Amino acid sequence: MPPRRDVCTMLAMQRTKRTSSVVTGLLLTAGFVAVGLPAGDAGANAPVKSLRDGNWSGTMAIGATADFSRGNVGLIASGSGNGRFSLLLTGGVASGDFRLDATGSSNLEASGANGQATAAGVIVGELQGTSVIPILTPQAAHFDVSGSVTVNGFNQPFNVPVDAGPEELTQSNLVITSSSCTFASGTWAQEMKAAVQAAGANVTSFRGSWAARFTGAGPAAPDDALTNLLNRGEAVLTRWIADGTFDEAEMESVLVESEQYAVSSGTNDACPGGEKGTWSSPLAGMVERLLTAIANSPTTTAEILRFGVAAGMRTGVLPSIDSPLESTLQAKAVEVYNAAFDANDTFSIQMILISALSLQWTELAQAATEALQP
Amino acid sequence: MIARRTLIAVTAVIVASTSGLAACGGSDGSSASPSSAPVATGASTSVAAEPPTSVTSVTSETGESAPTSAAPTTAAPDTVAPTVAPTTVAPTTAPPTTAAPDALQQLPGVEPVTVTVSGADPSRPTFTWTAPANAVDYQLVVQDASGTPLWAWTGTGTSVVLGGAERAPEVEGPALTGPGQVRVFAFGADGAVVGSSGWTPLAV
Repeated sequence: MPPRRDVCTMLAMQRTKRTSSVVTGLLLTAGFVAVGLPAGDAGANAPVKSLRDGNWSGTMAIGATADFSRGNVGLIASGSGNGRFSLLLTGGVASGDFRLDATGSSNLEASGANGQATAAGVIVGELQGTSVIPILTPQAAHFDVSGSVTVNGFNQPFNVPVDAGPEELTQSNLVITSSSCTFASGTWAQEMKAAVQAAGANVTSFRGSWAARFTGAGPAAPDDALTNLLNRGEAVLTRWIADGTFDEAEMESVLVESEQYAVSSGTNDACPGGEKGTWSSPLAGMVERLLTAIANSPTTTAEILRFGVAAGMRTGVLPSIDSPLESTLQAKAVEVYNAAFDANDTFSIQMILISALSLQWTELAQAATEALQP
Repeated sequence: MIARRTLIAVTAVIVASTSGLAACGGSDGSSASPSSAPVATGASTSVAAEPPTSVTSVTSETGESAPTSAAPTTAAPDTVAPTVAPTTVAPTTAPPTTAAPDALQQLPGVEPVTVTVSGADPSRPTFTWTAPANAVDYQLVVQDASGTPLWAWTGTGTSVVLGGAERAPEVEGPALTGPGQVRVFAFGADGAVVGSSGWTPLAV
C-alpha cells in the first residue's frame, strides 16, 4: 500500500437542506486547505421534523440504554416491551395519551456488592407539547423491581413494588427523526427520577424508538405490524450492544418488511404539502439509534458500518440534514479506515470505500481508492 | 470556477478555524494538497464519487452540480459495462455513458456488473443487474446527478425497484425527481467484494 493518506473530518460541519455541506475536510497540516465540498440541493427528502394536524397512531419500542462515553463500552440496561400513544394535533398543539409497558434489566455494581435487577411495569400519561416537540407527560407508574444482590458472598433476592406519581416521573420529548404525510418516527427516553432508584435498582430510564401513522380524522388504532417491526429492530440493536452479535439478516428482514408495510399503509394524496419524493420511513427513529451506536461503539467494524450506511440511506436517515449524525459516522469511518490501513486490511478498506462512495465522502473515498491500488 | 473554488476553500478554512478544529496529522506525517491529490495514476482516483456523465466533471472542484445532460460521453476504455442495456424501457433509460473503472472495479477477482434500468414509472425505476460468479448478496446505491445520496438497498436478489416495493403513484416513497445514478456492489459468502458496476445514469 502507499503511505496512509491523512483524512480527518470536520465534525462541526453537517449537511444543511440547502447546501448539502457535509465536508470531508482534508485539513492538511501544511496549508489548511479543505477540498471536496459538494454543493447543491441535499435531495428531495430533506426530513421534515414536525407533525401535521390530525390524529396519529403511535407505537413505542423499548430498547437498549447504551453509553459509549468515558470508556464505557455500551450496554447500561437492556429493555423490552412497547407502548402505544394516540396523538391529536390541532393547530400545531398536541394532546393525547400514552401507555408504556416496559421491562428493563441491568447489572448492579457497587462497592462490595453486585447483582442484577429487573424492573417491569407500566407508565401511563398524557401527550402535550407541539407538532415539533410532542411531550410525554407521565401521570402514574407502577413497577415491580426484582432481582438479587450479592454482598460479601451472601445472595439476597429482592422484589420491591414501586408506585410513582407525576412528581417522581419526568417529562420527556418524542424526538422526531423524520415525518411525512403518512409516517413519523423518532426516538424517546423516559427517566424515572428517584422512584426506582430508591428501590435499589439502577434501572432508571427506558429508551427506544417510536413510529406513528397518520390516521387523519379517524381515531388512532393499535398497529401490531408496526410494533413488531420496531421491536425486532430494537432487539437487533440490543443484542449487538450486549454481546457484539450483529444480526444483519434479521435487520434486513425488518427493513424489507417495513417497505412492504409502508406501501400498504397509506397515501399522501390528502397532504397539501406532499411532494413526490418526500417520504418518511417508519423505521427512521430505530435506524437513527442504530447509526448512533455504530458511530460511537468501539466494536464497529467496516462491514457493520457499510450495512448501517445502507440502512440509513434506505430509511432516509442518511444523508442526515441539520444533524451531526452523518459527520459522527464519517468520523467513525475515518477511524476504522485508519485502523484497516495500518493493519493492511484490504477487506475493511473495501467496505469503507463503498460507504464513502455511497455517501459521497469524497476525500475518504479517494484515500481508500489510493490504498487499494496495487 | 476558480473563484468559486477559492471561496469554498476559504469558507471551509474559516469554519474549521472558528470551530477550533486542528489539522489532522497522519501516521506517516505525509501531506498533500488537493491540487496534487491524485497520488495514484490514471482515472481511478478522480472518478470514484463523481457523476458518470462526465469523467472530467468539475463537481468536486467547483462544488456545482455536475452536468445532468444524458448525452453520451466518452472515457477511457472500461473493462466494465456500466451502460444501460439496449433493451431498457425508454423513459427511465439514459443514453449509454461510460466512466473509467475505479479501484474496486480493478481489484483482482472483482467482476463487472451490468445494471439495467426499466419500469413504466421513470421516477421509480426497477434495477436489474448481472450476478458475478460467487456473489451471494448485493448493495445498490442511488444518488442524484450531483452525487447526493438518495436511497440504498441491500439483499440477495438481483432486482429491486426504487423504494424496495412497488407502490402506486400516490403512495409516498423514494422517487427520482431529476437525473440520477445507480451503482451495484456484489459480495461473496465471506463478505468480500466480488463484483461492481460503474455509476449508471438515470434519467427522468
